[in-house]
Amino acid sequence: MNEILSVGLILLAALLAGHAAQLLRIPEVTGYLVVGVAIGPSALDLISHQNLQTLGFLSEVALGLILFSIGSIFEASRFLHLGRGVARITLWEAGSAFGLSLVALLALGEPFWVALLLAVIAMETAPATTLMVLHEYDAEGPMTERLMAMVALNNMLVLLVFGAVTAALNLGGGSDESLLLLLYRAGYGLVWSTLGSLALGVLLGLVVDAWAARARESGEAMILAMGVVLVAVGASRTLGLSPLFATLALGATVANTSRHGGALLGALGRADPPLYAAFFVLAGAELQVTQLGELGLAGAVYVVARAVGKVGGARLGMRGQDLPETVRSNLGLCLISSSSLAVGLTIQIRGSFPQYAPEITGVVLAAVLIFEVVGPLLTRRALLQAGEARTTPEPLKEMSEGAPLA
Amino acid sequence: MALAGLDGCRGRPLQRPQGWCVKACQAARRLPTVPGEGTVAGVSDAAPRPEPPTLPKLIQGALKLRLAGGAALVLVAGILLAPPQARKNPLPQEKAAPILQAEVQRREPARVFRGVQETGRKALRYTVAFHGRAQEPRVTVFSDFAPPLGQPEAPHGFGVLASGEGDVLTHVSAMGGLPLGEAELSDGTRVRAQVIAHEPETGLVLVRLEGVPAGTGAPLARSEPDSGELVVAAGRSHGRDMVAPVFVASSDGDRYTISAASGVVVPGTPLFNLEGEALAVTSGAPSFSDAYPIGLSLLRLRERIAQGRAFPSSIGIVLQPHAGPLASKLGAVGALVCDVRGGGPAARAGIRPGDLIVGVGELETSGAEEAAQAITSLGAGEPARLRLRRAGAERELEVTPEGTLSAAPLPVADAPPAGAPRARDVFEAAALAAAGVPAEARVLSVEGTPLRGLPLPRALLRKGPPWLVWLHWEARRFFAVVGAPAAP
Repeated sequence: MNEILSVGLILLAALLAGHAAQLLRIPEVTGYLVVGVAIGPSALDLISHQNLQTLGFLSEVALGLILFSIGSIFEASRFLHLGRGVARITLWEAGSAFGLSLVALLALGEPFWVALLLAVIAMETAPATTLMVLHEYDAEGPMTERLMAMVALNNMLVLLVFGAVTAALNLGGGSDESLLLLLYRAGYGLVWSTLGSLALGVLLGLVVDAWAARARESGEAMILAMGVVLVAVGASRTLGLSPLFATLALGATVANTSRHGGALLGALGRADPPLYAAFFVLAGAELQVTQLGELGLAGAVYVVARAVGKVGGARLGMRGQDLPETVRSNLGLCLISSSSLAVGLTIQIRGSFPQYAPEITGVVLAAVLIFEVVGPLLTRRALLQAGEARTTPEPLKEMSEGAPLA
Repeated sequence: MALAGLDGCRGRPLQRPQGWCVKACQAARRLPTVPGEGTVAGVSDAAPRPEPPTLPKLIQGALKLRLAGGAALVLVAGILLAPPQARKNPLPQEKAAPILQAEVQRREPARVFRGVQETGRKALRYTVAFHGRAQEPRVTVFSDFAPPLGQPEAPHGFGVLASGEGDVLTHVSAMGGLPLGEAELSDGTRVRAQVIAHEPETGLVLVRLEGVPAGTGAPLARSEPDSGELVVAAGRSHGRDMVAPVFVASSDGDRYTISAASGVVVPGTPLFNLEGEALAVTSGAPSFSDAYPIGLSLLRLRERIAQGRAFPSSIGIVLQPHAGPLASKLGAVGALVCDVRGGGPAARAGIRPGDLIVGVGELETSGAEEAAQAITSLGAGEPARLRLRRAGAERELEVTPEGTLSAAPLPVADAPPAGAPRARDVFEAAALAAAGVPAEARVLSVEGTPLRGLPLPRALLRKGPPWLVWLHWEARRFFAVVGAPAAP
């Protein structure tokens, strides 16, 4: 099937899935993922592997936009208000997921580096899926605020820790290069991927700010916003930086420096739906249902340890903070989703440390399948229980300047 | 008041039982451009929170310029201070993506080829990265002797570094029967090389390289391939990378039958599974469809070395199976020697074409195959006794076999002596046809008498047909029983 037909099919399938999800009272994300599995290579094979490869850029575009909007959460005023508490909860939930997974896998007899890499991946919470569910249910409230900031911080933390672990692995691996060069390379990699990505995001954000004043119409604003996000993703790849850090930094810079940030985000909002739908359907198509059969004991232990770590760690992190009980008991459930970053890290492991790749790939891909299906359902449940979600998604409204909102 | 970010919203009536003040604008995505009018959402019970100071007002003008300058400086410094590329040469992100798909592409043969090609290359790189070296586990096997004129072109083919000791497993066809002095690794490094074992049954050869660091090599597959499994033949031929998908048609433990999806693989081509583990090496002529598991082959070859049978023995003779008229003519059971390599152990021991080998050591041999097997099993360098029959009489000779690399059963024969007549000039066409002898074959001897020209000697004519004729045809020599002579 040619790619244009594939995209059309994806969008129509997403539309059907969205309606079905509403009827079944499940998150649209779950519907998109399930329909993606159905039309992907695992089942009906209407979207082939070749199509997935060619359409991979769509997923990258959508992810870039998602991260950009997450980055806009880091508006200084809001973040200063939330920052310390959120950082603490993030450290606790990510740390608990890491610690529990590591201990459980080591107890099972897994090799140290395999267990360590899996534990790092266990820290991750899917930004796209989580944000999509929040968006679908128009979630608002203290839990929602913290959740979005936590997802961003979580992903940054995961990348930092992953960078440190891989740097240590590179140092430990057999090589005839000098120790100084190895240390420099490891340190450079870590610093460059964080500082360099931040610098790229900040620079592009300031460029956007300078240009945004001239974008009079919403169409121009949309072009500007989308263009700069894609430049951020593309430039990150070219320079060996982290697209996640760069687009987060871009969003944060726009939020904190530009008067027109709101206009840009609003303009992007109109372009989001088809890209998001395509992103999640493609994500579902890439899920390999057959991997479930290869989960094995290590995989099952990984799934359980990660879930317990996330939920329990979040709860522990909220101690001492002035938060209602509904938030305390439900926030952890929203952290279960795991997807693109986990898969991305696995791909990096395959490239850099192939001796550990087979086992890690098997566990992660199967676990992602589980978390991607269960995660949105749990997030929805948590939002409803915390009272921060509508039971039915609000239909899209026309947002025009000066229009009063009902 | 223009607010950036999420707070520029207009409020709306309370709707939630918990008392949260619901804003009109939605979380993070849809923002009206209308400046807010001062309503804010509470973050705890219903008390409105004061509007925080707007930080964006502080980051403006000169500060923005400084921020931009600093960011640009960081980027430039990062690019300039980048360390030299690591030798592991990891693939960039976008190249790694096909791997996850290639593994499950078995249902799409048309796509598999491209995926497998990338996987094949990736598989080789995996093995490089696994051992932390830039050299890929392939060896171009060649000789440092120029091939004699008229010989086939210089050997081409390669082997796979299949053990931590730097041993290369390849097929003898890759070396064209020439001695080996050097081997070239795929990064151009030349190392001293020596053949240390040769298994004539399969043609597999073990080459030991000197100076290859321990641990270099391909990880071996932990399990056999299934019938119908797709594997990758990957290596280099004539300076070009070659990667091709290959299907394992069947596997019976010590040999796989393969069918190449495209092209013919050269001898000694390593086969990798899709996990990047080395499975087998391919054989050469005459069958390009066989592949031998690396692990088992290494075991067998090492066993041969341990038992002192690293090389098959040879005494430099060619044996001809004989039946029908030849058997009747010879009137004895044995292995007919149809050619003796000049200067070889058999020639030195006095064995001649036409001799019938009836015993090797203690073994009675009644046919060519039996005798050949017995001779190749002799220890190289250890004298052995051969019993043979010549002109009706039995005699015993001592011969010392030598180890041989060549698996080709027929050495190239010397050119026929000048004056050796064509068969069609000596015998009737019908007689030649009946004997299965090409008319253009050169007649070397008749009934043991060398022929230097025509006509047949009177003694032979008096003896009468059928005659035992020794012939030379297409670099081979053989015996035949021919009937009537040609008319003068």
